[in-house]
Amino acid sequence: MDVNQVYETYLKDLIDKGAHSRSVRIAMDRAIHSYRTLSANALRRFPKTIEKAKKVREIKEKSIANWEKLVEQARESFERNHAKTYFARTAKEANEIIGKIVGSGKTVVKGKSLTSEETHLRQYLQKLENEVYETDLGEFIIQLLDSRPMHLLAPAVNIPREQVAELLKKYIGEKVDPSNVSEEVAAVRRFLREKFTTADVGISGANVIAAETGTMVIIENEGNIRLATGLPDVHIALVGIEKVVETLEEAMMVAEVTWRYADYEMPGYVNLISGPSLTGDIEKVLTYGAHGPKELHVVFIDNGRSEMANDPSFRQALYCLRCGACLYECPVYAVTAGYYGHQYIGGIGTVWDAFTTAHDLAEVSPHAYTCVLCKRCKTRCPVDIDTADMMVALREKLVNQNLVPPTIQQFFEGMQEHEDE
Amino acid sequence: MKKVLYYGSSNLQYQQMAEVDEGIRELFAKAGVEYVVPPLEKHCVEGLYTFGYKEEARKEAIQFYEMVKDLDVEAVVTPYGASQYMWETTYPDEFGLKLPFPFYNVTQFFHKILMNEDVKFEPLPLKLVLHDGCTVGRKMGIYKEPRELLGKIPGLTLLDLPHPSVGIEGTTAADWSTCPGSWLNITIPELAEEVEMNFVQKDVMPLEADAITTDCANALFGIRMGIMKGNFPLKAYFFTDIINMVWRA
Repeated sequence: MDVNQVYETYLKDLIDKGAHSRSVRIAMDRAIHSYRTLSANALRRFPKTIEKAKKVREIKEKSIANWEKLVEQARESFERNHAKTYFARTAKEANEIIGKIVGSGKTVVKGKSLTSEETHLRQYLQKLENEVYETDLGEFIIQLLDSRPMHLLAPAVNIPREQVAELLKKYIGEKVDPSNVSEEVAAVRRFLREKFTTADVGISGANVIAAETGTMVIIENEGNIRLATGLPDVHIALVGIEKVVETLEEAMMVAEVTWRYADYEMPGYVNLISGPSLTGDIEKVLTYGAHGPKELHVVFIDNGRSEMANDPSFRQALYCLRCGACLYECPVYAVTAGYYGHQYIGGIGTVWDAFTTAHDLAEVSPHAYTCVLCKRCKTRCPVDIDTADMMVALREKLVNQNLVPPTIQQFFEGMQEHEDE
Repeated sequence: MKKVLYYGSSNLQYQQMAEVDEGIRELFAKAGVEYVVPPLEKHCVEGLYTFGYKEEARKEAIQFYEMVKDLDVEAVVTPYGASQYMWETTYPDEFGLKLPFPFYNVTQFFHKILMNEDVKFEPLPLKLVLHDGCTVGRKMGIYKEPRELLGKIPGLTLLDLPHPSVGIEGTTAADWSTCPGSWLNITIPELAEEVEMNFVQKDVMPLEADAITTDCANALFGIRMGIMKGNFPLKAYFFTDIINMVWRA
């Protein structure tokens, strides 16, 4: 892959769609102001969160060091709970496993999952002639736009309310007051209600998994996860191997720190799912498939994560809770939104992309040089991830493979000439 | 301290901030501190290192080390936070090179000299925002020195860049200070001016100040670019410029 071509393409999106877009700037200003205020309030109201975050760093370090054992334990626990489990080495394998479970001609409702964005699961299932609906409001907007998430938690963070109103009119035929966010939310609610009740399959990710009990914890506010994982007959969860910790107590601590740094004092819902629905109400005969799903399938995916875990320079990227806090502190992200990103977003996303979504390191070369190494993301990060340090390590790999963007090449040549003078 | 190595002069010239260079030299003269500049135009290698050219950085770091290690100076003083961080941390940790001097940001150095009761500053009726450089503040924790010195100036209203999380877990304004993105002028020039302008517009202008100052020369470059791009009614001074205005030695 030609790095100069990658740079040109990236630059066009970054500047034209990101930095020069008035709507992106308006939306980012609103989101950043709101996030910083809310997260500060949440941390002041629950000051013990900061101590818990330090503990979570320890939990993540321990868990990543033992990920193989923990994934095996989690699979055994889920199977004991009558769930089926799978291990996918690649994105392709994960999609194929899920594709076989879903089949074709089905209606699928999805909860927000960056991991499924990583594998392009929605698009894969659509190719199998399924109707797939993103049900997180932000993801739904992204689906209408045929775009990709612009934030780890708030996928449509770059879309102001006025543009959302236009999208709803165009795609679902709902005319709403562009200044009234409540009307917009109500319109999407009306549209998706019917999809939830008729869906054959619900798909989710998970914020964290407890290996000991075989329990996934999913944080949400909208209630779409409860519906997507509760109403259809089949629930499929796609989870990265880095999500597994040992105990339920540890999992809850990870979850609490995640939502607190995601700026929630307390989220609307915290879902704990360990298996398909069951009842023992008739003669204590355990019967699977009560009111909720009859089947639970848990797909664990590696897709470059084990390589990250084995590399001391990048292992800490796997500690990421995906709270998205770092992005709201990034001076570049403030003007570009997720256009600073390949598939994942921002500095931490660039490291993730280098291992998971990039077929060739050249694909993330200009992104690696977009980070200004200011380390404010580290100040905010609950688990103290040093993205700037990883970025320097990634740049070293790019230099060694002769994959630096043209500006950096020019800088280097200029330095050499200066030395020769 | 009688004699120091002043590092950063050629870089300031390169960044078209010659007056900052002159200001620093003027302050040395007022303080009666003799200074030398590096005998050759060798750089601190921060650019090479952080851009991923680790081996080239190592070679040049050795050259820099050889060039300055035997100089008859008591300390190294610089307006560039990143350079100081390189010598203090990266040189020993990555390259095994430990230079035999202490290193000071200009704020630290002049704080040592001027922070005593005998030194009086003239009044300066100015509403001034203090920007903490990323490396100076966040990475090296230099916080009190610029504030104490500027706090000595009669009539000066000193403002920090606001952030809702200042104070949480003992963090200071320096921990949350925004980077104006000066490095982008090299890596992605098309993006640099947007980030620089956004910083001035969103972080600084709401404070309705007369001027902004910073303790990192690289940040000053970005801030000035942002002011120029946005045509904002704001002056940008380097920290030593402010001290020069009020100290008549």
